[in-house]
Amino acid sequence: MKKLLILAGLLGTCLVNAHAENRVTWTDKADIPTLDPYAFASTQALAFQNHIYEGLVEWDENYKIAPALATSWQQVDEQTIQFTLREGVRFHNGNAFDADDVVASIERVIHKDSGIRGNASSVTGATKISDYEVALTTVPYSPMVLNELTGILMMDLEWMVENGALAPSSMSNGTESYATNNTNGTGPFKLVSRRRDAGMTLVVNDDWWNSADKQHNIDRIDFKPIVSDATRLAGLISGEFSLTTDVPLQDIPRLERQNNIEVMIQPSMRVDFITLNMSDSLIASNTFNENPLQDVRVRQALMHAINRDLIVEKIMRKMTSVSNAYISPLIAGYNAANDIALDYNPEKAKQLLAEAGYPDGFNLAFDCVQGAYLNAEQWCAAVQSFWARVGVNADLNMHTRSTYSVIRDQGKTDIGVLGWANLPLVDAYSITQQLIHSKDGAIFGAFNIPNYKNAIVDEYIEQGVRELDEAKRIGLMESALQLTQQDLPYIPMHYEPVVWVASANLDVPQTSDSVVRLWRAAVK
Amino acid sequence: MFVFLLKRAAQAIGIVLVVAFLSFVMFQFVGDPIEGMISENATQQERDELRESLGLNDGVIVQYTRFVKNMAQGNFGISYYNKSDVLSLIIERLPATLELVFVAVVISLVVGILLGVWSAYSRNGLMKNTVQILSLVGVSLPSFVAGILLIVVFSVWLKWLPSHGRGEIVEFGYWSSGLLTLSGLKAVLLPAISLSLFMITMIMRLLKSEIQETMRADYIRFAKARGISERSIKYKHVLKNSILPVVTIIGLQVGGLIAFAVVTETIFQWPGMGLLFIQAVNYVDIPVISAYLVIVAIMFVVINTFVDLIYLLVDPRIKVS
Repeated sequence: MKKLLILAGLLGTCLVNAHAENRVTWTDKADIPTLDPYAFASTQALAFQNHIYEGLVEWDENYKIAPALATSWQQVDEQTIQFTLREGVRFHNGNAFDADDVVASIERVIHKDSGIRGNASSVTGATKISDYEVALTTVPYSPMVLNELTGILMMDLEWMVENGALAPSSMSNGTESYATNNTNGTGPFKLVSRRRDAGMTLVVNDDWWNSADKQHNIDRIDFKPIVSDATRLAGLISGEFSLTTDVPLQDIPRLERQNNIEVMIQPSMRVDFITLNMSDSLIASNTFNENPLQDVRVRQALMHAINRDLIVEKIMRKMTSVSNAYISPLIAGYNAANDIALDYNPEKAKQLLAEAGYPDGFNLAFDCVQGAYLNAEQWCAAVQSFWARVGVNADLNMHTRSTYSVIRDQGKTDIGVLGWANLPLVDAYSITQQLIHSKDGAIFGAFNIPNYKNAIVDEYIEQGVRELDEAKRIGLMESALQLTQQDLPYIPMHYEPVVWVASANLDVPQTSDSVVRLWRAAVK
Repeated sequence: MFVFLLKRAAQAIGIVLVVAFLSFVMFQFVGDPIEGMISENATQQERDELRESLGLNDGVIVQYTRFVKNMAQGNFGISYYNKSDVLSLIIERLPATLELVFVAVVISLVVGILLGVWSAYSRNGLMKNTVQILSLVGVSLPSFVAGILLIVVFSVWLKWLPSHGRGEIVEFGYWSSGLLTLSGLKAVLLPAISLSLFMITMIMRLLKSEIQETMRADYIRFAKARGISERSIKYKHVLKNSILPVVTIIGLQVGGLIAFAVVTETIFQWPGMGLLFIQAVNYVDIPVISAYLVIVAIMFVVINTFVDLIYLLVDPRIKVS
């Protein structure tokens, strides 16, 4: 029996090889913890799941909303959007996709145990109108519904009922959902095997609704998580892997010398910030009690003191560019006219500090994080030494991600670091709501680490989050960002670089949101 | 015998309670799990709700009591990061780690004992010195360096052996084995060698000095005087009396290898418990960390009980007490 099986296996491999299969081996630092699209809010997990599942709408190459499982939509009133669904779409198990699936998916995503509820905050429910029409109810006047829907992938009602997966895994009840390790989507690839931390295999879905117009020619994707950087690089060099989005900067020159692989680098949408504590007192002790960072001249001086070009050149190895705004130019709400113009000028910095009454500088507590942003430990140290030259003494401490987040959230530091990409919304809505609006303990200011508060800015943001007129809304966000950038609660450093390495025969579009979309890739 | 095992079981329960308590005290310092669980766009309100529903606002004692209560019912909870049952996560990875450690122990026993005996009896000074020096390298080379070296030589240059993973595996219910397929055997070789380097050296050096010590004992001299063959003295009498400390050391080491194969598993992407543990520490996955520590503690007790039983077999003078 065993021999027979082995023979069958060999025969199988031969048959597959006869087709000259186009295979992509995609490796990353971490495994996708769960395949349940509503369980874990990470860009990486969503990117992988998106090969199997699809949303009602998706991003096109230019970050515009494009139809996917919905063909059209219409705002009916201030809290209802009506969607017309694509007909003839089938899930991987053969079930038809219709309005019932959308309603069940929306209910599941806003379930109390859903891990991505925060990515669907404007959605309140869905009702079926006909088999291919759904009315989505939302928070009144919410402009972000479509952006949020790009990340809400559709699941199959019948399949969820059959397998008892109508609710996501619940940590408080201790129940695990069937969808954690099993999938049934409508997407371009289907899952054939999964072993946690060892790998997953996807094969092309020949019954994909978009097969006739598909851009890719991939037959099989092997996803392999490789934790150790050295092992991952060895595999890339030996040709075992064909794609990775996780490369340590110091290894790039070595990889660039290889002929069989291509290194792709570009700035991402993520801006890395230094945050300045603007509350009434400092954490560090000084001879005075007031907080010098409350004076805008001091904040400007701190920015003047940093040579960001040198940091980009030496520490980031010229792989990105300095950012003079709080958001990437690709994101709605950016206006080049409002860019911050505070170049490296230590003399000016000293002068501003003297004008503010601190000619001899002061002490600051500076806490930086390892492993969250590329080379952060090095550019934090650089910032510390630049400030030392103008007399500001920052006491720098490095932390792991999880301990840093406690310090940051409890406001136990004067200077922190933070990267913000405005994903998955691709809209300044995210930064204005989370970083800039003053903390209200509820929906605004969860990441307002500086404790920044400007009533006019708050007003603009509150108007913006309930404005359906796109032009007006963008105008409001621009004004809010303009005022904030003048107030300077954050110092923008640079865009976090996106580094991908692909084998020379794989043509994969690199995007500034660092999301791998293999259905737009081709094997040469 | 029965009383002995009963005593050990009681000890195990005590140890588990202490380990669990220490781990809960430690959780106060490892950071905030919420960060890794929730989307950047989640509001403060959603964060507070999640924290409350996970019971993170309760005191250490309350959280500890809850954990012990659930553990007594065999329930270790749901992993914060993997969103799946912790016990099944650990059981899924247990075979990988145990097989890796098993192969590593076999390699180190075979190689270590052969080298130890050889270097104790050999008269070839040059060879002996070379082996001694090499063994020093084996002890002092950190396992991540040795691992990467093995990968570069055997995977990248020679392309003989895979650099990561377990190869093809065969499943039997809860157990999964990679030792039955060729690709599985090839895959286990590099990580097992890198894990065994230290133990090979230790066994070799220990055995050599024990043998040299025993050779000087009175009864060996008497045996020689009685005209017992050299061969019988060397491989029966001396070896048997020199192997006891090796058994002790192996016993202590196996527990350590299972618990701390972390580095080797990380380098070779070996999907075992160490890899799971590292991930859990990174994401402050409290249910996984606490369950892992408890299970490892139980394993230590079990292994040490076995070692005590093996003593009885090797040395009949020892009595159960």
